[in-house]
Amino acid sequence: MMKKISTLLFILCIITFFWGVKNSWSFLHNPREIYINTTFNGADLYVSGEIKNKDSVIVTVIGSDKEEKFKLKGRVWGIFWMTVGHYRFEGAPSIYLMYLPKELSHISIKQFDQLNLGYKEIYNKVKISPAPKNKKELFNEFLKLKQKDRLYGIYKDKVEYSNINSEIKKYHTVIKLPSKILPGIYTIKVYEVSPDLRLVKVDRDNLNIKLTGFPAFISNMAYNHSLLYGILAVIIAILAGVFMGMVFKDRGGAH
Amino acid sequence: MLYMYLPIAGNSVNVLLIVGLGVFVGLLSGIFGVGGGFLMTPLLIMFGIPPTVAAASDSNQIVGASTSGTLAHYRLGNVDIKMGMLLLIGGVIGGDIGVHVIKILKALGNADFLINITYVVMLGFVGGYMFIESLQSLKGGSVQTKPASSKESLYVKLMKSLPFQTDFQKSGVRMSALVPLFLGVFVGILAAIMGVGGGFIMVPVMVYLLRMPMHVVVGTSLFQILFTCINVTIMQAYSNHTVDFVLAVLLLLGSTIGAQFGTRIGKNLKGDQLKIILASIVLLVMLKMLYGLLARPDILLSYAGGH
Repeated sequence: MMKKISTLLFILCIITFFWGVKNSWSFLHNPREIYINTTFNGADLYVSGEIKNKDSVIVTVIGSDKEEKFKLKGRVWGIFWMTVGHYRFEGAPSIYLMYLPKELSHISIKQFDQLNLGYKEIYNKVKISPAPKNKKELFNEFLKLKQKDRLYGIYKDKVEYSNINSEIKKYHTVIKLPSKILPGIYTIKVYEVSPDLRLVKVDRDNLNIKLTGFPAFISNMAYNHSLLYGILAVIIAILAGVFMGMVFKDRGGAH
Repeated sequence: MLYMYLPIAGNSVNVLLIVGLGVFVGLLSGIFGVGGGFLMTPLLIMFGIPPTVAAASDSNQIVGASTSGTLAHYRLGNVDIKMGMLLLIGGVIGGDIGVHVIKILKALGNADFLINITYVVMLGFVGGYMFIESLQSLKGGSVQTKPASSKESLYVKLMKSLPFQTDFQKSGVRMSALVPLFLGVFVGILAAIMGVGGGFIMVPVMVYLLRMPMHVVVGTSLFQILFTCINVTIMQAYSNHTVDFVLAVLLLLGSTIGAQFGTRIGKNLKGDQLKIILASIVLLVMLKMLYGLLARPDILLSYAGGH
């Protein structure tokens, strides 16, 4: 009996090990972590891996769900454009970046919607309160705003293949993370798609983005020692003003 | 290009662009005695800074710029501390009243509409009046602000009948201490409703209602703005965590230098020249706001925050 259990455990360990290896090596991303320092201005994230020769791949970076409040402008009295409503969006990710290969860049929206990926996935998930008269119209405005901030985007022809043989091919892409990205845990998802547009496999890994150095210090001060932070900000501003006053004092006026 | 990350705004900015913006607004501050918030905040929002962070960090930088400007004007004898203190006390009381007015307006419904309309009407009235009056003075060859007509107006009679008559030596006027106090309350209410420092309302009030000479107006306005912005910066940092010190320092680098040069430029301009330039800027801002009310925005949704 004991022998059987130990054999079973051994097999289980082997399966777990290979499953783990397969999962952790199904794709690679570099860097593993991103640090937001003083000169941070967005970052490049390299993602690469292998898929079956006949399949295609979609790479996405998704932020955690966020609750955000928005103002909607509308026409009032036929002349003025002003705020006509306030809405709360729940369940939309803070970031949604999707990178497509050439063969998936030019398919119809209807075909793409079959995959239930992209903005349709977010549309189905997001809750808007109070319920708008036209959710689709409001969601489109939301997308425009997020795309303008480069927090959302679907980028075509951005995944490339190499080392293609009869069995597998390698893919690689460079994801441009915007400077507006916030510290937190992000999910990188890689979808393998069959030629008849069915999801074959989804792999995922986390990407950690952290504040470091001076930005981390300022953020800590602002949120955890806010009164001291405010007073210091005022004192430093006054000293800067006095310093400039002294520098210019000896130079006399314009005459 | 050198970029710097702003930890509270959660975005990075081009250092040269922000310092340059500081120089420009500092120049205006030094020349006209306005904080420049009515120009700086929309520009910062345009560069991707969240509205609440833009307004709060701008207050922080105005502290530096107005310290620099006030010192420069103080040396030139352009700061009426007595008048400034009364306006300041009134402004603080008015600010508190204004915050409550905003709450009532929000509860009643579309506060944004009232705020925007108040903004456009005030800017249009103040800018238009200053522009026409300065133009007439320039054409007539007048250098200083015209004194009241020889016949005593109702306004002058009323001023003389009020209690607590006080001499304001720097400004060269004698009036009741209640007048600047009351006008400070009025400007404070409007500033709180419109979400701005109020310098561009305070300056015309000092010129036309308090009858102060233009150069003293500029120095005294800066003195008053300095204390208002100290209060706003500390409150915003403490209550809302919206002061981005890195952004404020970058703006400060430019604005403190700009304020010094602005003071020297202002010194070389006549009172009416100063007024006509300020009036033109105020009218341009009014037209921009009016366009914003009349033209369809590209994106109908915007992030909620501030008012």
